[in-house]
Amino acid sequence: MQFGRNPCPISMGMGNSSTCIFSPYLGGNPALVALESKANVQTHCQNKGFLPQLGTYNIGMIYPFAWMNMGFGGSFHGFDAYHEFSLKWNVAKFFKPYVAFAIETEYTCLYASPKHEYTHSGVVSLGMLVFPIAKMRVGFSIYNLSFSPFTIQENQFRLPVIFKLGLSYHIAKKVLLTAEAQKSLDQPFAFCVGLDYQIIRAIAIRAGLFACQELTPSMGIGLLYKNFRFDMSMQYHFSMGCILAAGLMYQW
Amino acid sequence: MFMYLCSHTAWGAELSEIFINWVTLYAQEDQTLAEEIYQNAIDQLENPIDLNQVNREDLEKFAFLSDFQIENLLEYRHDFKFFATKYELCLVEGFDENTLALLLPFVWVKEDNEWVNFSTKHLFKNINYKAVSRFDYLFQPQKGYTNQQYLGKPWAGYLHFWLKNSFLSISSLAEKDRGEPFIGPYNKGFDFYSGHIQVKNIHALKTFVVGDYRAQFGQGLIIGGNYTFSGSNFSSFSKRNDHISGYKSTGESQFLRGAGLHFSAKNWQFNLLSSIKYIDKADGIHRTMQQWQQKKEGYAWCIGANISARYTHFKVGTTFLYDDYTQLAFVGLDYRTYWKNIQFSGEIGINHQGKIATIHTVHATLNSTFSWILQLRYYGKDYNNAYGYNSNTDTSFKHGEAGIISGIQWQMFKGAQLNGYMDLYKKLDHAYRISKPSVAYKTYVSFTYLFDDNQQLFAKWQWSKQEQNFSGSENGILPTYDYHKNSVVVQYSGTFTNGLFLKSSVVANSYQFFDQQVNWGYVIYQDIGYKHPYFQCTARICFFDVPQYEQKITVYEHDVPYTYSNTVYFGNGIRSYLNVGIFPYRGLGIYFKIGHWYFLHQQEIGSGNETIPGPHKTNLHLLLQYKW
Repeated sequence: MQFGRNPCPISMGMGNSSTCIFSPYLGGNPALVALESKANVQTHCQNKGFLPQLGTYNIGMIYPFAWMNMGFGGSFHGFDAYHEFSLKWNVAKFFKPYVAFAIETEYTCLYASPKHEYTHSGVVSLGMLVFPIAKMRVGFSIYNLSFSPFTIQENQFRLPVIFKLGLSYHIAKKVLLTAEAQKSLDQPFAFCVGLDYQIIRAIAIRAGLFACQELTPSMGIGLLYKNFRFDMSMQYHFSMGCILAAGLMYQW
Repeated sequence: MFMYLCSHTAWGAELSEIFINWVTLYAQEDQTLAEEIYQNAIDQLENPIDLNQVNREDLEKFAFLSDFQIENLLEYRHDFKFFATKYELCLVEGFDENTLALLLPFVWVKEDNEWVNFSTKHLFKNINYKAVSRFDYLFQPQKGYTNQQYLGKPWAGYLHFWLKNSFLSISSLAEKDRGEPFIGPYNKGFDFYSGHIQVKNIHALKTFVVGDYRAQFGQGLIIGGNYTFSGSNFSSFSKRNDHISGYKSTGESQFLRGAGLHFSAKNWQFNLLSSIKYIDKADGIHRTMQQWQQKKEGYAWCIGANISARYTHFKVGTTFLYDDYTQLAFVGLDYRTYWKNIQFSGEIGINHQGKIATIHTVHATLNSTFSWILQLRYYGKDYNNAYGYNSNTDTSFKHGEAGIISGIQWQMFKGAQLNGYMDLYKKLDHAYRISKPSVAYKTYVSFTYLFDDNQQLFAKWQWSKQEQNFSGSENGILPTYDYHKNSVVVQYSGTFTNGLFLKSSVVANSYQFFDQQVNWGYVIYQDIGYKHPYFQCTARICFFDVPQYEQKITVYEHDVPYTYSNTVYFGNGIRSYLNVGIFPYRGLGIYFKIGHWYFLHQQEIGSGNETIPGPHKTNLHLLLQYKW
């Protein structure tokens, strides 16, 4: 199941760190939406092992209102015989200068096989970001705090419950270092570290490492041109091979 | 200036996170010690000491203060006559941000500096009263109740009333643990009663207490266990605070019951004590018939005395104890002195069979930012003193231990402090799960950084190596092998001006026995809290995955007042709680905490009579407090 495990290209380039990075894409820590001062429309996709069946496609929009920010998004994963579909709504508020909170509600839908009908569920997630000092962020997020399950033929399957806690620090003006711990309820602990280096305003390069039973290195690049933003990243999994992600965004 | 200020304003006076961190670190896994520190600190928080009246003895109760800092504080007051505000402390040499963060909530500067000398009319004046009632309930039935092994019901509770002023303290407490019988053929009410009447500071009479009390003299080798902010704390390697004081904790073993007397005449101090109480072989838990029968297995009585002479830079004392239960007599000699910036302290204790225990500490304050400590200890394996206590070691005198500790404390830069020590020790006899004398060592490094007045980053690494029986049996000659244990903590906590409190933490440890596979265990949690003059709440969600019992992880969690809650994590699952305090009007506090465990892949929780069917465990704590 891909729900809750859908990193954006920036996150993937930084070893799947997602709680306290600089990312305007939906899908990471919900509280990151609170930091956006510009509206954007966005799309990003991911593919595992060059298999068309293992692709995830996302579209979204973030709009900053005067009193809070909102994000809307949708994602699709899978193929005709198995697919996952979700729609999410994010409400986020930045209590300047220290804390940002967000709550995200998501409608999820699963088509497990041709002999099963669609099954639906609702998920509530929380996110928080703290800024102890200008150079540092502490972030946490919980996906599926509602412990929502899917019911397939009277059997219940819980959607993943994922807790993430991270720390990021600007070790130099243009260099951001992140470290994060992640725990999915029924999976082992995972740790990730990531680095983002803003070479010039228009170009950033990223690298990271994701550790959960085995190490998974990753790298990525981000380009900014006028109101457009393009990000791409690659992760190499020693069993599954290459995982690619790309995202495009228009900000105004 | 500091977040700790708000602690005084709310009726639910709470200790700062920085202090809680300090307690959890230095008391480590000693729950009794941590509870004692915690409860006394709350008491101290509600009755802060006046910086213009405080003396050396009072300051020495704060173990996080070094002698260098105490000396500088007293010198500063002597030079400038008085403190205009408590924040003047930051001008005293050696008072760094970390020390100020710990000390400021416990002190104040009284506007009216007139010292009140005792007269009979003062004995019953300015009395503060407090009444507390607590109730705990476990919702899931444990096996002990369903198979009727437990004699009582699944609730716990206590009632506590006390009053105090500068010269008088009266306390009475009644307590029942979960599963203990309340009313019926076994108990006619609560299971444990405790109380004391204490008068103090009446001319030369420093303390006279009747009832339950604790006492400590010297380094605690003869009579110890009193509250001294003790533990593996750097400053408290050397114990400084000799005194007798009333006991008002719910712990059912570590106290004396009888009478204690403390006189002071100029530089001389005289202490006398006697105690008689039941021997409780069930350690205060009387839920089953067997435990009930072990509750009163004979009497233990003792008498003791201490005389000491104390001058500004020199103190020497001698302590005597006769323990009727073991028929052993003990005598000890303790000292403390200074040479320039170096402090020497120690004690030698000997019983009438010639068995010795001794401890000696050198603490060098090299400058205002760096200090070094060296401690040597030897507790003979037949020294066998049930009333002696020294918490710098994780074993009791009964088993014997010899060791050496060396450590540093470095104020690296503004707000940043590094502590580290190494402890190399030898167990002179068999111990728990070690069937022969063994060697062990422990290394500890911690780093604390205060971003500003209300945010803290803390990191700790601890590594230990000990021996353990291969089969885990306690008896017989068995081969022992080394096990290695690493523990890492990274924690951020912040309190913001709008009343919001946040704490994020990751705790990881590894355990390897002999050449077996290294196992890692993790706990990750997030706390959110909010404090308002009429309301406060804290909530936590915690994910944990700790595969082996040997690597269980202990984490502090907020609880209702007067309860120091250290939760032990073992298994895989989620722990969450909500802790709420409501203050409807002046003096009244209503608190409740509801906590829930969910264990993954487990069809039952616990073992023996404590077994709960199913993966869920929910408990409720409710506390009412009224102060007037």
